[in-house]
Amino acid sequence: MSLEKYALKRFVEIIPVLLIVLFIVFLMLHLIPGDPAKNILGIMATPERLEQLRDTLGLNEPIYKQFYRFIGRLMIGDLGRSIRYMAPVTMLIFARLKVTLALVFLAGILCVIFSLPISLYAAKKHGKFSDYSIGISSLFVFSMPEFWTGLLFLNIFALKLGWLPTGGWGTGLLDNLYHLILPSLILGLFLTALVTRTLRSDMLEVLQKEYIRLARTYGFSDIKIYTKYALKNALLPTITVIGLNLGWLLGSSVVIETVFSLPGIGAMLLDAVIVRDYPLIQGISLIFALAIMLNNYVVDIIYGFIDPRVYRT
Amino acid sequence: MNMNMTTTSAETTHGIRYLWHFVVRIGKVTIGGFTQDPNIRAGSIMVGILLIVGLLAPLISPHNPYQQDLMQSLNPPSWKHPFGTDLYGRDVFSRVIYGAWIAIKICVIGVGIAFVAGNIAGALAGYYGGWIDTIIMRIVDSIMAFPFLVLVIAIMAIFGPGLGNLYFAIAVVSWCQYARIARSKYISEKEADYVMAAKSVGFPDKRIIFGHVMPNAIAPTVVYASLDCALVILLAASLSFIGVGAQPPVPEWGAQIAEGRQLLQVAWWVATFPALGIMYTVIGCSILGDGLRDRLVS
Repeated sequence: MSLEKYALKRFVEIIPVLLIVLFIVFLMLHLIPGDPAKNILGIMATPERLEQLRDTLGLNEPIYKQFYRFIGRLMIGDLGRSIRYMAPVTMLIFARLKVTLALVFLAGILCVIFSLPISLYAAKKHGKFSDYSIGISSLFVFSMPEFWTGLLFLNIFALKLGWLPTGGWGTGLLDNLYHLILPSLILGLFLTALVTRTLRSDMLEVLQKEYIRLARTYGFSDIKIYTKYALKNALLPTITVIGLNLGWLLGSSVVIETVFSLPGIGAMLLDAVIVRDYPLIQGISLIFALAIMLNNYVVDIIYGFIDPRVYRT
Repeated sequence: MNMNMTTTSAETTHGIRYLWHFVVRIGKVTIGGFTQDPNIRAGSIMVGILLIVGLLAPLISPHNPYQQDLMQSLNPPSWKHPFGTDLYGRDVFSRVIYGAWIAIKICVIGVGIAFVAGNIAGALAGYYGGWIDTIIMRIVDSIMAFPFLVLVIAIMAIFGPGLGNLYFAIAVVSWCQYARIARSKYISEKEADYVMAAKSVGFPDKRIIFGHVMPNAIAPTVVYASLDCALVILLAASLSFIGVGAQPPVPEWGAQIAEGRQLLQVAWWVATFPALGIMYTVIGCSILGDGLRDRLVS
């Protein structure tokens, strides 16, 4: 099998999953107990307004037709209209997507910067005191809920010391980055705690490879062995593990964006839940799911590209 | 009809007996590990204390966690209120203790349902294969395509906030991981000789799956359940913190932190002690899970 065929095969396998994902998103409006229109507008709504909303949401048609229409509209990028903002959901999401993307991306980079040396060091000191204390401290960081760490950092670095902004979003690239320092640092720290354990065993494997032993027998210094040989080969498992935790990262971004009042789609999801803006909830959940599916697909293909044995057997 | 009844009850007793053996084995591992494995020792002590505190909450807590006393608002920690009082003068110590009871309920109900449902789904998918496997695993893949937290938030948005719906939402999303783990175990176990033997004797599938394979295949999911409790506690706290989980005045830890959020500069104790409760529980469950994994799975 060639790489192209493998990519196509994986893509075909995704299609049924994508359909079920779409159906789950579709159901989010239809599983509402009672009358969705009444649930959205409240008990005080007039019959005319209820009827109008039912019409715009397409609730008067049979369910299979509604699903068919839902898919049809998705094909042209139409996720419906937000009830609260009175605007197309697609537009609302794309206006705010960049904040969440920047946050998640920065957190991922920070995680690579933290976790790679930490787990390499732990693997090097395998079974010794420093290995043990790295394990304990990552468990400690993991055990703190991210919103709690967020509140602590906010109070220390923003309110007490005044070094960093308390939240919100800036104007211009540098200002935005300045506003992202604390939130991405917290997400990065948590992700590091989450992946260090997996990575440590990967690193142990890397360090036992023959080329490392060869470098040792040549008498290279430890620093050279780690930076020149081990680090390069450890980068791929690191990125893979972080990619596998993307779902966790996106979920946490909802909480972190709320704590730091960042105008990303995570915070918008929560706003939508509070005002019962179901089309917006559907749209944002779908975007999150699509992002994860795309990520998993790309990771699979990259893996196949690097290690053709994945699809040759 | 009568014959049928007796065979069914025989199968059930078989299944129960095998599962009982497994429970005994876990108990032996925990007790045996207690002397040898530091992880199991530390983890089971921590979880044990949590269980005692949570189950005996009404006896231990010095005050009613809902009792407001506005004259005692925001008292710092003292002998009368070891963890201080919150904005409404409620005793934070008692509220943290009742939080442990809620954490236990979340783990037992939410994780419990997910554990049972996931094991059954994984057993069917792994043992039968074919189209049953395809359908179950495609559903699992689809649910896992969503970020855990986002799907739980969406479910809470549909059915409304509150603790009862939170258990349900957690179970709906987290059974998938159990199904995946159980399925891979069943796929490897079903080729084993003892399954062949049971098949050649003519035992019905139900008895083979639940009586013979399940006790051998359940261990990885038990280990995962312990780690999952830690994740679910964090998740429930996050949801309650952002306002879609447990609602005030329920003394859930995340909801308590949300109440103490604005007070962190003036009354640190309102939010800090519930946060310590979360950390304690998460660390305890994770350590116990690690210890069980070392002894049960490998």
